[in-house]
Amino acid sequence: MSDWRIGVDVGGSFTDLVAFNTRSRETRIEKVPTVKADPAVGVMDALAKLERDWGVSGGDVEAFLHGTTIGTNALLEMKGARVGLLVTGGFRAIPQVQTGSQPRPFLLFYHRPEGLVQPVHIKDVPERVDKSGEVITPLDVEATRQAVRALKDDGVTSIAVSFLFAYANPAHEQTARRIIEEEYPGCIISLSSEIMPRIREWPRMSTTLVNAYLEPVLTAYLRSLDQQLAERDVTTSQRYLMQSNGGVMPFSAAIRGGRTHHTLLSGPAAGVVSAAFLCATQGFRNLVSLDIGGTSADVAFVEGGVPVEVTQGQIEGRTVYAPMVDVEAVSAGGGTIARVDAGGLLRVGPDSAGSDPGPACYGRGGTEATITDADMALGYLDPDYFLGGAMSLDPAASDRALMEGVGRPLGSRSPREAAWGIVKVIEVKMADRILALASEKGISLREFSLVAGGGAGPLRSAGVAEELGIGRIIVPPRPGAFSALGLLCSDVIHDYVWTSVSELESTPVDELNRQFARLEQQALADVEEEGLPTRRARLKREADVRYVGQGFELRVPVRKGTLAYSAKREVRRRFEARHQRLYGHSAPNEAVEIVSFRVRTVVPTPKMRAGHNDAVAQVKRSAAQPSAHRQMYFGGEAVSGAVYYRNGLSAGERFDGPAVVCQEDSTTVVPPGWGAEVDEHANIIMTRR
Amino acid sequence: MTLAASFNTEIIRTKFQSMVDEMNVLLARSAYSTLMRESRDCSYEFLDAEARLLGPPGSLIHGYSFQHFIGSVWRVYGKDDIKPGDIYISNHPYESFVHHAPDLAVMTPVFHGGELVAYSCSAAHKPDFGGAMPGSSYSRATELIQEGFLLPIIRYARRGRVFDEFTRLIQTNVRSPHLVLGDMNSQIGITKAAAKRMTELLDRFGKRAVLDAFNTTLDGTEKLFEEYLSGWNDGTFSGEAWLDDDGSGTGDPVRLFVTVTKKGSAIEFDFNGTDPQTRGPANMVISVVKACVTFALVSLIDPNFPFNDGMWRSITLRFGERTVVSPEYPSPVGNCTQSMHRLIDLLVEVVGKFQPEKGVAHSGGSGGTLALSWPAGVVGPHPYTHYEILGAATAGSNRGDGESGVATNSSSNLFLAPIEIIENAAPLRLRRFEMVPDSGGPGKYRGGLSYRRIYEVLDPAKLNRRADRVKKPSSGSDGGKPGRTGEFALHSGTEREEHFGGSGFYDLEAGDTFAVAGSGGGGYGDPLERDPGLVLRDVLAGWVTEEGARRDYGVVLAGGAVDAEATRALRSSNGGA
Repeated sequence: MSDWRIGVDVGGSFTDLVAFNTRSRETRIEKVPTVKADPAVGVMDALAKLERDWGVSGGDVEAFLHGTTIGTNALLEMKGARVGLLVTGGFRAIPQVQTGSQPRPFLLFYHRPEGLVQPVHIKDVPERVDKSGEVITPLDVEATRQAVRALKDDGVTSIAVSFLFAYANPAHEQTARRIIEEEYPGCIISLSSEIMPRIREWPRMSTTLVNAYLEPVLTAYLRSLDQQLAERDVTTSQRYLMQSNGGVMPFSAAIRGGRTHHTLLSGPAAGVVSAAFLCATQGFRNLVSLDIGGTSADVAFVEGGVPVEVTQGQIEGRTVYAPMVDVEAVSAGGGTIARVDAGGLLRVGPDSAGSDPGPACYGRGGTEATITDADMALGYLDPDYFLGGAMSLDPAASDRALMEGVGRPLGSRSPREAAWGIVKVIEVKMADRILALASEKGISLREFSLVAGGGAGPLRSAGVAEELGIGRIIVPPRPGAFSALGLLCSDVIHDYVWTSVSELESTPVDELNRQFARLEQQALADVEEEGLPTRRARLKREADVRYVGQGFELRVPVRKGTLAYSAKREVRRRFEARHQRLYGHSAPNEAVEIVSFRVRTVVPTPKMRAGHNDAVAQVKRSAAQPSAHRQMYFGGEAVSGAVYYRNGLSAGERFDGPAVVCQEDSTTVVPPGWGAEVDEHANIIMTRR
Repeated sequence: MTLAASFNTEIIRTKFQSMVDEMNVLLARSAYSTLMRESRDCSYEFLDAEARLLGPPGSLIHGYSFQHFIGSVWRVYGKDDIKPGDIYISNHPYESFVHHAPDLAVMTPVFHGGELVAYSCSAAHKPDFGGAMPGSSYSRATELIQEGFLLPIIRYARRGRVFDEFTRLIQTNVRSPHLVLGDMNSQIGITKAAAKRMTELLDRFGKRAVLDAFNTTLDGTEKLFEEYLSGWNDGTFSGEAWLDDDGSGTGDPVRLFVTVTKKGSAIEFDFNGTDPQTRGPANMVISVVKACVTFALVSLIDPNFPFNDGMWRSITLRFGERTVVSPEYPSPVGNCTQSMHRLIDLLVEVVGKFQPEKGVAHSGGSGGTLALSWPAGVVGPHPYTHYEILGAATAGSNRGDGESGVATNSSSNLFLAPIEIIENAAPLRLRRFEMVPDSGGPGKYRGGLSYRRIYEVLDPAKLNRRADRVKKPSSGSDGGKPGRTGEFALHSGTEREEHFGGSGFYDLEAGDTFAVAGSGGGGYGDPLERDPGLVLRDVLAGWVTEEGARRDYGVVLAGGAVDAEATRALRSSNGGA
């Protein structure tokens, strides 16, 4: 029976697999090392392990959902295609100057990241369109032909075309496409008017370049993965790729081209989808998700059950215009170093020992005190059960590093005293960063719960929650496989955008209808082409709105169907409410304009629905029995804390801190004053007593 | 100090700094005008009861104003007459020591247990604050009073009660009062909210612990800074740099001069030798000079150096009377932003001599500003001003080439306005936007290139241009050559093409064009030692012309490759044609 839905998320170190049986509602989880040279091999390893351990074979797979870092890795390692770029005549500086700014102050020796296109492959061709799309200078066809030939001769395999105001009139870019097809059949072509037809020439060009640079890498990978899946007898055509917007798209849509820039943040996005899924199934409305790894932590917010999104971001230092789940990296992880500086002041972070050499207790040559060493000294980590015993830790090395780096310089004789201080400082830092991010996004954290993900998230979650004034924490069953789980909770999502600057008051409502209808036609055509049921597709409309003269836009929802005049008033009202909420004021007398029109299609997919499992419906509450007790330190006090193993805990069991819960991929700390209970979905719910 | 106290200090310092960071974000976000919100030319700061800066300020541009502002409040009203709920404001460069008249500073005291423990302060650039020209920026100003409507130190509110007369006074004397008052109110709101947050911190950790943390932080930075200084050789170095003119766009160059003496763990900056204060607006008040000194020290020590007023215990400044860097009322100061870039480059050069491993030439500074204005009815019902700040390039250094087409120094965070946004907002059309070949100062490590933009005006407009480095280029270092000077030209590319100095006013007709370019960065090291392969790469990229390769680098190219023999011959024959 093909009733297994399988999500495979390829991360930096591990490839996680979560399988869910739609009939029996069983869940299976596998974890294998990521194969850097060919991530598809790691995916196959995970599938092989699933078959070995549980007898689930290729033929049993109903759907295969995939999150990959292949694009971001190629971006990081500069291993994309050799790209050519056509720009408007006289404007070769656009890709060279970019934003024209530096990312941080005081940098005398600043250098931009190397360009995705070499300057010699930036060709300008005579053409110009004005802001309303009117042609001022027709495209010079012969010059374009010559530019394409020159790029071809130079071994360029992918050409990006990004002309000024192409969003207002894409004709010149389309002509350029025809010329490239004639001159250089087989060359990959990315037009800015198709990739991201939004105003602002550099972000649009940058996005187009990112697509051009990575599309050959992604499509080659997907084709190879397709074939290897077939070899494992996976016959289903339901093969989906995770996108930055928290939705999936069919492999075929990605291979068809023009969508690579949507796929770059698939891992972090899937993690947030997981968090949103917790909301949908467990009645939480607002969550902060805190996912802590070795060197950094990811923070995201789910508000009213919906992941908070942004419409552009920086990915490996590249500007990308694409709707994406808003995941912010905070530089604080297990490897973060604590030391006393030359001025005699304690500093925790931002330097990190990473995973190599890593914390002192890894015994790989690290000598500086890290957060993981502090956790070791405080008795939270079991030296013999790290990664389920796959790696053993050296507590003495932690003590040494803590004393030498922090304890002794500050006149303390106790590594535990130093460790406690370090842990408190890093928790305050994380909490403060979360508060600042929330405040930037206009989010108030009242009535929020915290979801702890990643190997180190559940170690820190209680301390961070206390600092934030949050009283409830959710630790999912596999904090380390949170992203893979999200793959099984995603719908097919496509986003469409078109810039047409329209002053709201003077633009006829029919014009708004035309703009949305055009995007919706394209959206439904794509759904049909992907073989998905168009009648199940939900369409959502939004508009990017601002006061005339403002330098940025706010995204506001727009109602469905044929718009009447009142819809314009509604857009204005929603815009002003949002403006008021974010900036504390609005300007009812100022003119408002729509800058871009947006349409999103959502085609629901069958999801994990663990919530209605009869077997766990009538959970009995009972006290959990600890496997052991050991000495732990909280607030400088040594206490005897209970030790539980995660796989030994069942739904309904309860216990109080001080305690730790050990599992293969993570450790949960329950400090004194906190209680914990396992819910019917095997989450640990911690609450402040 | 005990271990527990050390951790407490780090926690309080962290909370304090994130509070300041958050307030800076909120301040920019709550701004009413796009200028303040988008350019983020605004900043928030706490100072302790002795008016000491406790951490890196939200903006270096404003950071050093507040200690002088508070000093003036003490002088005008007396320390004892500062009460909870008071609000003090000023935009007067010689009273509040904001850089120029469009910056408004706001302060409210923080009390705890009846004792004044800190000052909550902010400053923000307003779209206009009166004076002769829209934007309160007038390059022909010869007296401060022409640069804006001046508010001396004023007690705007007493124990929470605002004096409305002052509001009406401001309303009457500024252009677009709804924007100015909107910005001012959000600025005051944030400054008050921050003071409240500070009292929460004091409640949570206790006054003693917080004040101890302040002192420990200042002492720690002092020690850390002394540690860095002790690592440098003792000695004295000096240097000079020239501003194009007095800020008016006409007249003679103006000399900046500094002698830096480092002895043990102390450093002195003596500005004697700098020209007298200028008639035009090139002058810089003390807070600008401190910001420049800080930029040079921090960028050369470590961009993450946790500086605060503790650092200043080891620094001495000396000035002659009434010079460009120690002007007195009523000298105008409106062009100080341009002067500031030159002073920073000079200080980086001279301080750099104490750290030979970090040699760097002069950057291209700023590409200057453009303000184009149209009367009411052209762009909407109100008069409209389009404002742009252009970038330039960074310098060559012994670590490599400079970066091209980028904002530098104290304004490195500025974004270049997108063409598609400009043309949608104003009757302007960009004709060209290109890197300027050969503009990077030749050197073993080339200075960055500047860019040139050519604009066409579609409706008659008035243009107010401010810039430096059109006459005096950015210097090279260690045998490197200067960058190409910036330019301003009317009717660019036509028979009527005409070039002008840095700052000036122009009346433009529909169809008129003008070109602007910043200065290239200075080169570092002898250009004849530059790797010919890099020169070839630069020529292929369009950054250096073939002629420039031969003239500046002694590199001969033939058929898209380096002619090694001809290059050797040219380079040995005393370098270059």
